[in-house]
Amino acid sequence: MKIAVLGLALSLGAVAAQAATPPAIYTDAQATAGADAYAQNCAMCHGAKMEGGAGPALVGQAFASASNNYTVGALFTEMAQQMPAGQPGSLTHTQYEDIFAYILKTNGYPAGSTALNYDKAMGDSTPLVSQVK
Amino acid sequence: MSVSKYSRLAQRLLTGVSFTLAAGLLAAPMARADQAAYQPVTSDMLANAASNDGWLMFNHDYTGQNFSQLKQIDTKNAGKLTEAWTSDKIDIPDAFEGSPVINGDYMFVTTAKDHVIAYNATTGQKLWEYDYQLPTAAFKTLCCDTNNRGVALSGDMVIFGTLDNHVVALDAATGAVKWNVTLKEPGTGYSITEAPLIVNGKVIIGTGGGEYGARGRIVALDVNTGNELWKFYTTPSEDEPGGKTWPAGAYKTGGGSPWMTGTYDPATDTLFWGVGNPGPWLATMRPGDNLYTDSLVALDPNTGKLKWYYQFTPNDTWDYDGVNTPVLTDLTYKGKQYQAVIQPNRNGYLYALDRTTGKFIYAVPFVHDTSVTGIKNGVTQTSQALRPALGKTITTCPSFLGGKNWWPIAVDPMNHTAYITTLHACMSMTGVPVTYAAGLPFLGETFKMLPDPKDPNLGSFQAINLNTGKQMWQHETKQVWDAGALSTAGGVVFSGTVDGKLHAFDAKTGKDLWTSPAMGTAILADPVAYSVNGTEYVAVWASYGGVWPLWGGALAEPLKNTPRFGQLHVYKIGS
Repeated sequence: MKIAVLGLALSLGAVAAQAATPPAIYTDAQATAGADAYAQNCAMCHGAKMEGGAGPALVGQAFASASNNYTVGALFTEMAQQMPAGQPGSLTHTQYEDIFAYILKTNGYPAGSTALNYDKAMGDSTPLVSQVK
Repeated sequence: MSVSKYSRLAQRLLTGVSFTLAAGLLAAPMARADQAAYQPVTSDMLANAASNDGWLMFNHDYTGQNFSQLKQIDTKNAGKLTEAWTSDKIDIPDAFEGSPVINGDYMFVTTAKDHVIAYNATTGQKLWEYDYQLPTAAFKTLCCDTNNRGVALSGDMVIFGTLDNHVVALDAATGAVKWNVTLKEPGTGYSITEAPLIVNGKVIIGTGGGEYGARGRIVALDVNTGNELWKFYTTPSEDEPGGKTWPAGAYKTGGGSPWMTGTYDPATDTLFWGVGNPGPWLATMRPGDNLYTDSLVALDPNTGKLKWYYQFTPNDTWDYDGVNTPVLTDLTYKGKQYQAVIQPNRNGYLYALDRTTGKFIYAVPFVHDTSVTGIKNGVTQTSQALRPALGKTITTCPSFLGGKNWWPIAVDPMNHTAYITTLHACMSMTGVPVTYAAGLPFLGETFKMLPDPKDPNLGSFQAINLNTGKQMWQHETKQVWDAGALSTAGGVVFSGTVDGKLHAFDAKTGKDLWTSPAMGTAILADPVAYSVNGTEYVAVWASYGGVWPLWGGALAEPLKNTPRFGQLHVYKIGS
């Protein structure tokens, strides 16, 4: 019984997640600043529109589909620790927050009143599924 | 094949000439009267590739020596080299690291992003082109650009691997697809950049992915169908020999990518393949030797069974892949003759092993090295103090890009000399937490490229006497030397530099005999030599991209404005 209830809850959750608007976890100001920081530090490998180049695309289903099971925390940690590829971890915490906000925005995540925070984002288990088909 | 399949590559050709050629191909595939009928490549031809006038496989022949027996171009006339023909500029801003493969007057090349082009080897006329269509997902888990290092030839087929893990066979005369098989889904950590090797009617090829927690594998496919005949995993499971060198389950994401083409010894029917770094990079997460990462494996090509192995860097934590081409050559060391296999390793040591047994002969450093402290009883010793851990930063040499990177070396078997492109750089490295996620990098270390305090020149090209392990001569460059080597029986050695110039050196003295005009971009590829109708040619791709601008950090900054396109240059003596 317990298992059945859990299963039901999971499936309801999945339906809700698909239908719902993704959470607002960054501010517009961060995304705006992030566009500049992205152009300077990321675009040479990931493309001006995140379409990919020598580095992978950062937008759409080829970036983060539901089947990838990515979380905000996994991708933020990946970016903050390993990027830019030639000089990992070389940007400021604020730059990483801004760039990630810009990536979220480009992937259809809405801006809100709560700013993305470096330390909290590292452990954020919010699913990250691109809203761009 | 549809018109659109051709047109994507055609659109990338700056001149647009290929549109007409492609259309011509569709109307009349073999309309050129001056093009001889294609001569199928037999097993016998491959076994005797060392004496063939062409360049029949990635490393010229099964020894991997990148040595051509041709000697029309020699130390006396190399100064008269002139351009025979040049391909169109191909507008793909990535690395062209392929070696052209030549059979008769047919030349087959691969471009970045896995396109294949056939040229007339003497005139440069395009015979056909095959535009490979990569899914977007294929770009997700590449480490080092969109390179494809070339094709293999068998019968009337041209065979190549792709970034989305397909192996494809084309008709050599027309470019039509004969078969196309998938080894692994794209975007899940695996990719193929190496040229296949054909042995005993089998296509042997390995996958990349050591930065993404892939599990390395070498596979053999039936050359006529592409059907898989055997598979060798480079990281053994718990119940296999070597499996206990990993923590439980770690072999599944243990890397060990065999991403460079191997070699073959017909005398003992043995395949030699280099194996890449363990994953994640941070070794504290996987105590043990982590076989067969950073190793040379000797396999039975008929079954894929392991005959022996030699591990260059046990429990590697610095990304010192063992993939450099294992070159078969005979040498005399301290008065004793050996049938050897040699490899200048990314860990900065040049190794010589007995190729019949795997037994250690010698190892000598060819670059400033602090990670490796020496060799004891044939086993590489590494510094414990210079191993990164969580929160612990170290500085060591060589860098994670190695004392040398993927660049094929050349060996002159008559003079027992190896010609080795070398990278002089160090790095800092810090351990950081990482968890495996399919499709994401799996490193656990951050890093920074640093100049080598002992050698401020990043690049060098050195000749080492294989009988002694001692350097004979060396050329140094301020910027990285980013290309492989070709040696010839004419006593001339060729390699290109990042200023886009191809150099011809006197093999014995290192004297610069000839330098080509600048090609307008860099050179990253290996030059090849071939002869058609009594004329010897040397061909090389020019381009910029690849591992250096992606991972070189501040050290690569001076080259950031290098123009990005691919173009093939072919030279001969006189007009």
